[in-house]
Amino acid sequence: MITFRFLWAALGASALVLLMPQWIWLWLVLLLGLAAADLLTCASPRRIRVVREEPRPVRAGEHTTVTTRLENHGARSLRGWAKDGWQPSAGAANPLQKIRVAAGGSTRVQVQLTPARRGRLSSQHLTIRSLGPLGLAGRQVVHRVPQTVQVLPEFASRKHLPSKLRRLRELDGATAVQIRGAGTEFDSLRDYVRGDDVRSIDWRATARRQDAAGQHLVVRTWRPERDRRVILCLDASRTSAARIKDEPRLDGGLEAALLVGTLAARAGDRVDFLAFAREVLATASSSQRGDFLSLLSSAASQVQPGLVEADFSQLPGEIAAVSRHKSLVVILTAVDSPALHEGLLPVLPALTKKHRVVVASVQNPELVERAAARETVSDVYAAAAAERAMIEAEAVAAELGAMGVEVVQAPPEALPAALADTYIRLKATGKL
Amino acid sequence: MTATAASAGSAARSAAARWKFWIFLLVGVLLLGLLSQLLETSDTETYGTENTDLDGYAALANVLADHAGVEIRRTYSAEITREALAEEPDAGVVVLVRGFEPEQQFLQELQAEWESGREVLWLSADTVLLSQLLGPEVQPGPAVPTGAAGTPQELAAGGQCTHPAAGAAESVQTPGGSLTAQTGCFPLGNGESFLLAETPSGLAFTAPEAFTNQRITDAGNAALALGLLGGQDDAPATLIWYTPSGADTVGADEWGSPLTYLPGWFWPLVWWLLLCAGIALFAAGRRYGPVVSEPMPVSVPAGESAEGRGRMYQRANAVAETAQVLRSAHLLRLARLLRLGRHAVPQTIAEAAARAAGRDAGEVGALLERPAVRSNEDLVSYAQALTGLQAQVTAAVRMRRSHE
Repeated sequence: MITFRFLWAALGASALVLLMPQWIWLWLVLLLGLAAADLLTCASPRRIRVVREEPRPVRAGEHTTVTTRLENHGARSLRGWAKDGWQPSAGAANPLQKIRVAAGGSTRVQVQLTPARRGRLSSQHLTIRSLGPLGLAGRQVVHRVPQTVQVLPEFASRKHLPSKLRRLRELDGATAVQIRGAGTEFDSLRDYVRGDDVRSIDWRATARRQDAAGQHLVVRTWRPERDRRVILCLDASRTSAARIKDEPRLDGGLEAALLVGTLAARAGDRVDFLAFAREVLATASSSQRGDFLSLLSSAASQVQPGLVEADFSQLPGEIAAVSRHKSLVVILTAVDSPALHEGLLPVLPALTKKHRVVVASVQNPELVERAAARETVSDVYAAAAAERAMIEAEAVAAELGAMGVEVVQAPPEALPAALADTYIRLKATGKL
Repeated sequence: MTATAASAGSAARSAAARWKFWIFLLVGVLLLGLLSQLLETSDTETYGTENTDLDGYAALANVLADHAGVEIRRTYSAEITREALAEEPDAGVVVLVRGFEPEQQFLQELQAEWESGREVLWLSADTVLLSQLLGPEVQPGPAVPTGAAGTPQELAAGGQCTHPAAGAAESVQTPGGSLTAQTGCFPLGNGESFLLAETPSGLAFTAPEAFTNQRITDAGNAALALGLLGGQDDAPATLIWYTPSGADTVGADEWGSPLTYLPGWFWPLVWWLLLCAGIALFAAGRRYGPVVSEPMPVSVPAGESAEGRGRMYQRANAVAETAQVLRSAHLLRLARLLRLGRHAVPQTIAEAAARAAGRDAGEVGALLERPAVRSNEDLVSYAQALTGLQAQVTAAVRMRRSHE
């Protein structure tokens, strides 16, 4: 292996050729001799041992640093370059680094990554190029030691989390007159403050509370029911591979599942997540040990859309295996797919009989844009086709609604918040 | 220490195993090429003395060697021919002209040789070139006439003929040209052009096709060939067979090449810079380790099916159906906007929309209930009218709600 410095040296030597052209062979031998000496005196890159350090999981779009330790077991000090072979979507900022490892010593190569895709991104090899003292020539060896970083979904919708949690807390401890339902639970008694509904005053408790200081009105407070079950079912079949605004429909569903899952887990519900296509691809449960958000994220990071038809017939069985009690079943799929009639609709009665079912779907905002364009003949035909697709999706939604299923449809960026609102509404009205 | 890279020996072995197929292929191809070069003996040159194809002279050369004892010595440049002439003072010369001209100076030497009694035979079908070479007395003549099936006419030796070989042959049958000359054999046309012409530089035979493996047995071709090239007792035992080639013209430039005036360092520097270019290729071409691949996800645009359906409508010119789809979409949307419920009939919706937008009920009714769309132009204006109505109703409803 020769370097560009060797090229500059050769170009510099052309001055010697110009001045003393008859000695061209001497110059050639001199140049080759220098390169050969460099090659013989450089440290062996084979005597380096590459130790990869386990990187921590990272969210897509965030920065992280992965570390590799290089131990020099040779007798000479190594000088040269190290190149970490990260795949392009890992977004390595400095994969090529200058290194210097003393004989018997070690050094760290730190590569900054900004992963663009979720999943397991890896570097399969690290290449070490060792240069001689003159830097004219050297040796290169590929060390095939893989390093993998787990990239979690971006969870851009976590910006909605504080406001949704606040809404949940507002439910907690609110006087529950307007929203009293079968599911709200008695929480506690507290002193009346101005603004409370007078109908929530507990007269019996007020009578007991009388003391010398004066009148104290006591109100009953309510809290939303807890320890309910939420099951998030993510469809990762061929319909989820369709791209809406440069990201697969699956990613929109994942974001919504992350937001609602986190919200429900914080609200004290038991949340189960399962991604499926022909069979179950990934699961996570808030009953497992550890932080549920990280469990859910790492389960979701593995899911990739597959080009197979979804098998909804297994869904009731899978849900029954997760929970035998009444649950909120959220199915994240594509409502505008014609395949829904054969797949999901036949199994819905079995689900709605026992559970409350919500079907969430990412809407394609392109259809709305296309339906509004009416300039040319082609535009109008395309608009009609888009209108027809929307009518069909609406018909399916109406059909689902008639079966007692709640349908949430929204563009990809709005779906997480819309689904979270639906969850909060159901919880507030005690319909879980 | 557990090494993370293979040792040099095993790396070399695995590289050899990986490239095994290509190495074997390369070696095999090289061996085959070498073998075919070694075994290749056939001469493919036109009028070549070892060419056994239809256009070769192998038959003639073999008969000359076996029966007349003539040794053919082939030369390709004037320089070597000159040496051969000096070595063999008695040998005859055959000049086979095919495209390349012989040196001007050598031409004069040959003329001198002919005048001093050496046998010189010019063989060429290119009569124009020959006439230029052989001097102003010689002019190109007509070609040998051919019959209906392409068979050339048989030519008799003619009365003027003095050459014993032509006399012995009596006639030849061959395609070819002719030259006008004072004397000669096998006259053509008006009798002034000859196939075998006597010129100041020697005999010129303008039908070399006659002596090929294909034609040598026709008429008196064989007798003429043997007579001309050494069938007689006093014929020379050696024949110098000169075919002018590119080697003659190389040194013939009278103008000095500009390259000879270059300074001494020029060529070493050029070679050095070429070497530098090679170094640049190697330095830039060595990459850091294997190519890294990225597993790409499937990519299916979600709007594709709707787009395809739109194109299908257009190709089928489905004007009425398209209008129907647009109408039902707007009816649904207006019903939702005006809060008329999911099952409102078009008439109700039209009336409510007309009231909200402040437009004529009949006009809106016609738009929403009986679309009259016949052509593509109608369709576009209908679609735009629907959009306009929708916008008016939306604005009116929004206004009303903000007032409430």
